[in-house]
Amino acid sequence: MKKYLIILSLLCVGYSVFSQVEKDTTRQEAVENSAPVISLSISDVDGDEDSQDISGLLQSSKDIFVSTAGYTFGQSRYNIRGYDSDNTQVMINGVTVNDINSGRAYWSNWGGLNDATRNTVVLSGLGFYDYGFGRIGGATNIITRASEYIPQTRVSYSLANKSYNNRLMFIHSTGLMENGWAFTASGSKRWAVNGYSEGSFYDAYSYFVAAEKKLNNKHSFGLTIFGSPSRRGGSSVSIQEIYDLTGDHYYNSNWGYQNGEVRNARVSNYHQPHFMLTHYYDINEKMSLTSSLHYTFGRGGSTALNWYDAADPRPDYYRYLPSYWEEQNPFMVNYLTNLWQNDELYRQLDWDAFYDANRNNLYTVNNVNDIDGNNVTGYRSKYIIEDRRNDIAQFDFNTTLKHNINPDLAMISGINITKNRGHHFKEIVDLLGGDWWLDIDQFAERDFNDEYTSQSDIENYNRLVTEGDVFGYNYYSDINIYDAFTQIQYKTNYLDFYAGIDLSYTEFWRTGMMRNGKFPSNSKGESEHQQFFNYNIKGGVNYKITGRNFLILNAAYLTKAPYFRYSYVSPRTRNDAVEGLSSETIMTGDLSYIYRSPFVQARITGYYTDFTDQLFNVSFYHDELNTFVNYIMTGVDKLHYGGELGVEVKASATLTLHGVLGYGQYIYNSRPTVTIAQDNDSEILAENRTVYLKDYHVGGMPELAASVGFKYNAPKYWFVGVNGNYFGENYVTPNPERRTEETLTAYISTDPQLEVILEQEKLDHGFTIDIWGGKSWKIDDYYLGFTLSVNNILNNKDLKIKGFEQYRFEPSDYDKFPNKYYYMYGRTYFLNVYFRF
Amino acid sequence: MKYKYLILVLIPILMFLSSCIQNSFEEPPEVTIPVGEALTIGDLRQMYIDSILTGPYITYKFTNDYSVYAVVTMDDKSGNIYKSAFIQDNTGAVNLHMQASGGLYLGDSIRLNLNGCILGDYEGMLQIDSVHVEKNIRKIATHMFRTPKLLTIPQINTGLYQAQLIQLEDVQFIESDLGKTFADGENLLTENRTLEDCNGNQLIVRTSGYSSFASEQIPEGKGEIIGILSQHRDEWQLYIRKMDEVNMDGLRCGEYIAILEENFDNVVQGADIVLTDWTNFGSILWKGVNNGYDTMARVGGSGENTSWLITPEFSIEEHPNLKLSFITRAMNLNQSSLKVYISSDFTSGSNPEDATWTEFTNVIIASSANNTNSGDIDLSDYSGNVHIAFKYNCSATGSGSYFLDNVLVFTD
Repeated sequence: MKKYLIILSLLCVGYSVFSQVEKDTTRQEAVENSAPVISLSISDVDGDEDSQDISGLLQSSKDIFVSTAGYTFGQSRYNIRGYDSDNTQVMINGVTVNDINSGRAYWSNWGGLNDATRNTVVLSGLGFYDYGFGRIGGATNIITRASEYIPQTRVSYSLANKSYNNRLMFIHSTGLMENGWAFTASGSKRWAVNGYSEGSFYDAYSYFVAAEKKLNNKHSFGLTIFGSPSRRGGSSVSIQEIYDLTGDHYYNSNWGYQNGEVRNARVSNYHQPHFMLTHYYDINEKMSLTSSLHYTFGRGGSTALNWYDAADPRPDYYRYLPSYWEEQNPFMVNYLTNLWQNDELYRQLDWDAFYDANRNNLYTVNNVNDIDGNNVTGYRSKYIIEDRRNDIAQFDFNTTLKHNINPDLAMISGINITKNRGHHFKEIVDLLGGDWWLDIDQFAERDFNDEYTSQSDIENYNRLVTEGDVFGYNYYSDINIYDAFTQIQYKTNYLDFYAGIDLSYTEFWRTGMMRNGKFPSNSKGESEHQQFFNYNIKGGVNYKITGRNFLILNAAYLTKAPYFRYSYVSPRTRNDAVEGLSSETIMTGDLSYIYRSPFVQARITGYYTDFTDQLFNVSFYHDELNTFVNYIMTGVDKLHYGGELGVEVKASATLTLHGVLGYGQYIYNSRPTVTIAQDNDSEILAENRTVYLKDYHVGGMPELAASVGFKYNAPKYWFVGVNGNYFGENYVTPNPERRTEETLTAYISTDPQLEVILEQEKLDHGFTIDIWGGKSWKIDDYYLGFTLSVNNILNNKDLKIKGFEQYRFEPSDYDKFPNKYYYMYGRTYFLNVYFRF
Repeated sequence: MKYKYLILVLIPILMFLSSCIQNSFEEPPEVTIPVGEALTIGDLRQMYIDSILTGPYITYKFTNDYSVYAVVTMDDKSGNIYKSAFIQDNTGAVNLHMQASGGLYLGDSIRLNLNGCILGDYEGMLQIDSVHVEKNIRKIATHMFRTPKLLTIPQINTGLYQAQLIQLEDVQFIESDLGKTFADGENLLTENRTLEDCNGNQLIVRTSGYSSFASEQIPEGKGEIIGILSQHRDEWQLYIRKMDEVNMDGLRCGEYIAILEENFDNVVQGADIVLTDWTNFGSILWKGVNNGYDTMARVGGSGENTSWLITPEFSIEEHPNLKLSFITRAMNLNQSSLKVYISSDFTSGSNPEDATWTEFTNVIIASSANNTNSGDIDLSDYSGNVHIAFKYNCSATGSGSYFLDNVLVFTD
């Protein structure tokens, strides 16, 4: 027992040690050979959930490629196979918890509950999976069954210089007690007064309670409640000019001084507690049924500045930059350069000035609330903080039947019902010293010169709103999904097969709560219901050439309903759905060769994925039009293909060497059609334009990532490891608008500028080194340990990890709105000290 | 084991009690703008004359606190002016050039602290430059709308009204501007249009392509217009504030609507005039002239005679601003006269002597053979359904003839 505990404690500090993963291997025995399947996460070298995605879940994969991609490559925003996170299914006790609006999985939903969500079963890519059908990127099931937690109390403190600086975390588990009960409680606090980029703060808590009652050998009931309330001050992304002016590749335009205190304008504030009741039913030796009822609700949203008839408050607005004056006024260039370099008040938000502006803007609004002669005089806020809310309420029912028909034949089947209602609206958070805000649309006011048209809600004409009031837009999204799947696996001496099918029906609609002055007939009330029937088919074969050589082939063909958030022309203002809305089709396959011996583990994989008929709908704020513009592309096809290589060599009992390489091409494979709509005007800016996007890279992440390193595991409970990482083939995300004929009419075909506009920038490749290590001690019955990881130890601050072309584009002056970039953090550390008893 | 539970209880408490992240922020203190010495806009204009026009400076920057109290007469909301506003007090008006657009609204009563602002001119237009809407201005009240000053185009040229809110009446856009828009709203180009009065005096109306009414059609009629009077070198320009203040749907100069028009085109030479609803009455009757050159009505002879030629009935109230005009000619006048009357109780075909007639006194009647215009006789003081009478009178020893043509009752 003691030895077991020592090993476990080592595991607690260990970094995804392939050979030492012992719990749950039985659970996954059926698929042991169909790598890359991952089980059990016992890694504590984690910490930063900055990217709010699922990469954290992959960090402790059994597969060296996947674990490296999840952890080491995470800092470069590398995505396995270039897939968005909506292609990975994330579940808790079998219930899918991907955000239903976008399909994405948000790690922050259980952020800070690392201790409590450690028990995961991960499927990377396609395969036979015990807990659900999975998606093309794989699946992860977090198991929160109280009886499966090791009885322990664990307290840890972490010190870091990433998005947060401090973390305090505890967990206490009873294990299954003699009375049939099991309890686990966990909680954490993470905070930073100043995160990695200046002015970004972090203030997050989490709580977790799991209880289980074993009634008898057949029936157990589990209850899980958890949540992660968090408030975070946002950071920004800038163009190179700003980085150069400030000398800071992490410049943050979102903060400024108020009364001498640092205040951030973009604060995200989430709290969506989850409640889950699970019934574990072991029908007989061969069959088990797990059923869950799940309910989650709560608030989500981020604040932002809004302003009316006043100077743009954002310090990085393009007209405030020296470059804006380059050709017209050299004096201004010098003047602004000096301000940018030396005047913090100029390069950051000036909150005091916002208050001053609001408190001086005496204003009279006539006929308030549509009452003739009801003229109200007061201080009309010019600058406000609004909260752009996306609240949800979701109910799920899930049941999964696992049937091991005989030792060679297994079947997993399940049913899911999901009913989701999202509430999307804006709320006034802070009037910044003013008395009220008039709920009209300033763009419409300017362009239509008509007080009626400019009303956000004509049923509340000339409404004055104050803090806590809903304004601007207000609508519900209703999404219902009914899903059923089954999959079987059959094993023979030389061949394993599996196949599965999933059928689903998706229905969604919009319900407007405001009658918008510009769209009085189609803004309020329920929209037409959109309905989609979808199917997924997958299958695979594992050819066991010898006991050490495996050849695995997987394939899937599926259709996917469009997501609600992309399906409306302008969901903030009206019920109009995108024309020709249809499901996308995905065809994918991969072929792997796996070699396994006691000393060498290796995998080489080739994959090919064809996405067709994707919908692309991006909404961005157009400064000049002063409104949200919705850029909607249909018929977007993408091709992702490439290879993955992972090798792990046990050089000795203590030394492990590893090497990992991922290289792919993620490219557009069609000429999509674009429609450009506005929130504030029914006028369609463009319709059925052809975008010449074929063969451009999807961009936004490195297509090439490699890592080599070693790990030394000393017998005396310490370890150290080093990784050298390379990132390359990173293209900026292209702006489709730059690849349309209509935009480029100003240029003759031989104009050399044309090439510059059409070219897709490739970011410089880069190299980083990470080290990590840890040690643990056993003192009587107590365990004390620490781990330390240092990423990018060479402090390379010049590595751009993501770039994108701005959607705003001026055809006559193509570099007026240059590309924006994210830089990889410089040297960061994460020190974790824990105490267990 | 005891510690275990103590720690378990303490840690969460510690965690959730302590918060070092600031959640709420105190409001910054109010910024007051000093008052200093009060100046009128008239004072500013005098300073401009003293130190810039005739003095040594090109511009003058205020470095002390001076306050001007005024009312905003034009803002940049409509887009017709940009980063600019006009303010006015009882002594005059001035243009403000703002550091940023927005924030000042028509009717705002403000105190402007001039500290940091620059007094100067732009091509003859007095301007206060570098005004910051928060740092220089405090609002005292809203919706204090000034009444525009009623002027004529010749008065504008006196130069006394620069930057002021003015109103013009009975003006129209020149013929060549009709069919155009105020500006080029498509390409966002500023355009000049020309106003004229009925005497041909002209004034430029200048409109920005960014203004919300740039693409509005130039009104084709005559009427009134309100705007800010601006100056560019020697040229006066009117800036419109909003379309509500352009009311030019009247008839253009020289145009009229005829209620009654008689040119005697169909009369028979030498025959008694017989026209539908007209009354021809007297000791001698009015006769037609239709000699190949002229068609008109004629009355006359010698000896004592009274002759009436009376128009059909028409209503005064139905048409605003009714006027009467006609042409007369005279021959051999001797103790004879032609007078013009109006009556509201005459009935067509009855004896005019039984009705009550009021004579028009300010009528020009011919005394020679030249065509003589009567002038426009204003009928708007009268009421009811009326008739106009042309009454010839000759004494027993007298003689003489009158010719009458182009009898017109009209509105313009």
